[in-house]
Amino acid sequence: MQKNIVLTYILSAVLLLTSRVSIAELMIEITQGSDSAVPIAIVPFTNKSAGAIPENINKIISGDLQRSGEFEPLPTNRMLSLPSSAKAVYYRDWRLLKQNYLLIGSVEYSKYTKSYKIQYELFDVNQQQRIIGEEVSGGEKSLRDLAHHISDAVYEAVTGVRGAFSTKIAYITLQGSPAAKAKLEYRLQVADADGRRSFTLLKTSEPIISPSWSPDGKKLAYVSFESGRPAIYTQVIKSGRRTLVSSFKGLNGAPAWSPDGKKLALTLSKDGNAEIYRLDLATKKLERYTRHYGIDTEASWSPDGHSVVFTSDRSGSPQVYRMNIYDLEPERLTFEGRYNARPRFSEDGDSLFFVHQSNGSFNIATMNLKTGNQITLTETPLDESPSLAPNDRMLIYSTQRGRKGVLAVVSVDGRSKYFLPSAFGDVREPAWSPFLR
Amino acid sequence: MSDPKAKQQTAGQSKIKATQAAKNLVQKSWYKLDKSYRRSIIYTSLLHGMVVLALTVGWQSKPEVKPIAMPRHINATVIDASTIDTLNKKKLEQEKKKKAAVDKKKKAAEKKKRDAKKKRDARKKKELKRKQAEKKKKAEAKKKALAKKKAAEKKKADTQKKALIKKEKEKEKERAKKKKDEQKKRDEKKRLDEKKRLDEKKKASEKKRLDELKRLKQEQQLQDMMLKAENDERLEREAERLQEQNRIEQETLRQAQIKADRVAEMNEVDRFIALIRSKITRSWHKPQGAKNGQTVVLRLNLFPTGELSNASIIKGSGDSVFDRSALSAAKSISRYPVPSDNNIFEKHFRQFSMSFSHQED
Repeated sequence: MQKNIVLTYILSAVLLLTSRVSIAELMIEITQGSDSAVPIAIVPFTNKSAGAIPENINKIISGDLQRSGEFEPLPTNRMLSLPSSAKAVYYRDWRLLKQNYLLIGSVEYSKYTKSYKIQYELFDVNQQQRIIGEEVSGGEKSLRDLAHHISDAVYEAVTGVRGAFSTKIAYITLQGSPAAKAKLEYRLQVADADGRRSFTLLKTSEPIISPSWSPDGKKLAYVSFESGRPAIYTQVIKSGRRTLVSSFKGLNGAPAWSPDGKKLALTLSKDGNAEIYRLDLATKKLERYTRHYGIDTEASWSPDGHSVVFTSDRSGSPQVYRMNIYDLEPERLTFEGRYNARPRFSEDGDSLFFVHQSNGSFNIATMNLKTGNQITLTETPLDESPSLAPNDRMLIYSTQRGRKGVLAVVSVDGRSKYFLPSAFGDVREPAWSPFLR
Repeated sequence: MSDPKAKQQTAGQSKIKATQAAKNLVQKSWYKLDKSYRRSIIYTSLLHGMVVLALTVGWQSKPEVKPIAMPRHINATVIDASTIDTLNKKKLEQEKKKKAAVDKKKKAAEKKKRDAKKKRDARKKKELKRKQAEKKKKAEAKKKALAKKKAAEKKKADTQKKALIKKEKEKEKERAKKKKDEQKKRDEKKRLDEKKRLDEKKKASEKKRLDELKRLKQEQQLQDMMLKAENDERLEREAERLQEQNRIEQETLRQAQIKADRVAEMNEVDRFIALIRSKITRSWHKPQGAKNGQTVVLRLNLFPTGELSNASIIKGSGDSVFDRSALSAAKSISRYPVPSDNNIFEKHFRQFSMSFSHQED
């Protein structure tokens, strides 16, 4: 009994001492991370087939990750080895190359199914462990989709944010020039997020503006002047079927899908002045949101569908306002500069992206709605039509390059910026699709 | 010639008679006494006898008596006169008491007797008158014979008286001498006693003085001891005080040194924390999906060379990607900057924690 008591005391003392030690342990606090991109080695995928692979999978993945601005892929020629399986991975090699992650994989074509099977594995070099791995397959036309899928998976595994490489973008191209008296051709086009595999959804000699994706990514709403005056259409991307939803007298513009996909916010001037309305797509019922002698336009829904932001010059210059759809009381959000327009909510609803004019140039700016902090993201002179990727990490907008309009992508932290290639002349009015799967 | 003889005879007879009468009276008185009185008288007499004997034997001394011219050997017993007086006095008192008691009894008896005697006396008076007349005649006849005898006896008695006076004188002389000697002896004895007393007194006073000296010496010794003890204690206290003061000074110095060391150590620790933080910050690729306030805490164990021995998550953020990014950053550093001072390393950098958090601006 006494022995037990003594043991208890000793144990208590030890525990006390241990707890004291743990309290006294040095604690280093880290709140800042590296500004540089994450080093990743994407080893060329081994071709296990007899024939050549039509797409360079690792190149597509490298391109995706690099464009995000958050990854820095290692050039292939600097690699010390090209493993295609976990057994062949020597972490020490990749540590020497100061790589944090290693992506390896292989592609195999099956003649029987006429499909490609891609197997990949991602390793954390520092922790010397496999993080993710998967086997995906698809036909020849799906090879880029499979590559984007792998990019998404790697992106999410490393950043914790869903990748948006498998999404699409819609934009308007203009061929010809009124000055050259050549025939003008406006096209509504849809392409992969990397600008590849574009296809034309609508081709017309009259202007097309303001494309807007339905929340399910299956339809587009846009304004077309093909009838000689503006009208709003919706079009199913896959089938190409079009629906005229609004062709009121006067202005019909700036369609924006509500988060549930059942309504459109529109700008109509049927009552004399450009005002924001809500159109129920099923019932065709209209509800007027704004009543002001100033111009109210370019509405965009908040992700929760409870409010809309729009541009209004009711204060004398275009500024961004927010309005709760229940009390319809507009609240001005922007106060910096004389021009703030085309607002778009981030997917999390915390930020707003809009065109901001300062020092004579139009740039894309973002505002944190909680703090009111505003940051200008772009610096080219005529930036417009911002559209946010569904993961809130990238922003696409149109700008001028020479005398041509081009599409540019910038990461929301401003660290990365690139231009999208385009097969056609002027490119404008981009719209980033939501997640498609 | 016949007269003196008759006289002598008569005297002897009367002497015998007187003796007999005294004896009878003593016996009569003795037996008249109570038994307990008799015993007491015996015991008292014995006791007195023993005391006299003891005094006689005890006081025998052999003083150095210088021979006096013409010494005379006299067989004498030295008796203390005062003792005898005392004894006699006591005896007399006792006897007086006895006599008083006897007298009392006697008086009572005598009273009775007197009454009877009065009657008897009256009878005897007549008888006596007759006898006295007879006796007067005889006495006158005898008177004449006696006057002759008396004249002879007076002569003899004068002679004897002269001899006796002479003898008495001698005796007196001897007694005076004896008394003188005794006085002398007493004086000597007294002197000796005095001397002895004085010696004893002197001895006692000397002893007392010595004792006093001894006591004083002891007191002095005790005082010395006490003083010494007090002094020792004071010295000890002083030594202790000095020791304590020294200890405090040493402790103050030690504390100051510890403080200085600690400051230096903390400076060194801070320097290496900054180096580690800088290195980690460069290595940590904070996930874009990090949410505000997200924090993961790692525990790192290093080798003295700065190489990572082990890194583990002790408090996750709830987001595996965020946690992994931190762990990956911690493990990406092949060699941590650590102090060369082994003590500081062991104390702070052998094992430490690192928190990675995302704070939005």
